[in-house]
Amino acid sequence: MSLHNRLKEYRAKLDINQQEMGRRVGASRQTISLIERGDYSPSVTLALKIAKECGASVEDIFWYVEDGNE
Amino acid sequence: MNRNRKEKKGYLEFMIIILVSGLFGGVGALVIGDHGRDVEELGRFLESVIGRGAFYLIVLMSILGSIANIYMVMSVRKKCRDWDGEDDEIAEQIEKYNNRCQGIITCCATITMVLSGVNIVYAFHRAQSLPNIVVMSTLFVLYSLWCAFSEHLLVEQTKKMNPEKKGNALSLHFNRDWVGSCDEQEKARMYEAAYIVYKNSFVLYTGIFIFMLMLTVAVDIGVLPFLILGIIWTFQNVLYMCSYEKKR
Repeated sequence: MSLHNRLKEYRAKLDINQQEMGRRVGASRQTISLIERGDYSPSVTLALKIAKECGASVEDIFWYVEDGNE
Repeated sequence: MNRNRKEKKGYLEFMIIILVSGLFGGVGALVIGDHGRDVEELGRFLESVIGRGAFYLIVLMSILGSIANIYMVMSVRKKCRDWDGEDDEIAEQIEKYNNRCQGIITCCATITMVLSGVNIVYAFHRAQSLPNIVVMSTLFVLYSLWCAFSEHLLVEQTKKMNPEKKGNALSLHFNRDWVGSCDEQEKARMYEAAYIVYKNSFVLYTGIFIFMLMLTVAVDIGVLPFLILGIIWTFQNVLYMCSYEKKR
């Protein structure tokens, strides 16, 4: 099972860099970068903060795909 | 595979590890025991080479290490200056480079510390001139201070790139402040890395213990190495258990 996301698209819509996104949601630039690349699955709290900042629901930004269905 | 079969396989693996370790340990002890004098002579030769060479190695490491520190600090500062504050990929590269530089500085400082210990043993218990000890001690102190200051400068660069980070590398509360300013991903990464170190230290300590046991067959290494290993090992286990319980 792997977590996919559209964070990069939403961040581009907001026209902010990873540093700024990190500052807004209380995370580091590195964390935002890892989330965007799918290398880190954020906690529920962080996912909710990101969704709120993007003006979308968590499901709009994050979704998971069962292994073998990718 | 059902649970019973898994358990049986686990027991079998455990027995194989014990048998193979016993076999290697036994053969090793036999070989060392058979060549006791050779091992003793080799030990004395190595001790003499390391002991006599420690002074020159400290001089070399202090000079080369100091130059390398200057280069690393300057190159990180240059990379940070050149960064436009926008390009995330470049920021990542700079952070990786900065982390590696900090790792190299810490390793060099640790090696110099060990070498100075060897040198002090030679100074007090073997024949070595006093000027050597004075030069070595001065170089060791100066290099250690320079390493600490270099790390401080590199940490400051990280803080410039990541304004949310807190802590002064020269302060006693640095680790507390730094971890406090890290987010969930950074903390998880740190804890995972620390656990890998903890897990692998078991392999290292077991290896050292077996090596010392085999060495004892041929050479009288005294009880101090066993005691030191025991203290470190027990301290680590107790600290891990206490920290684990505290985190519940």
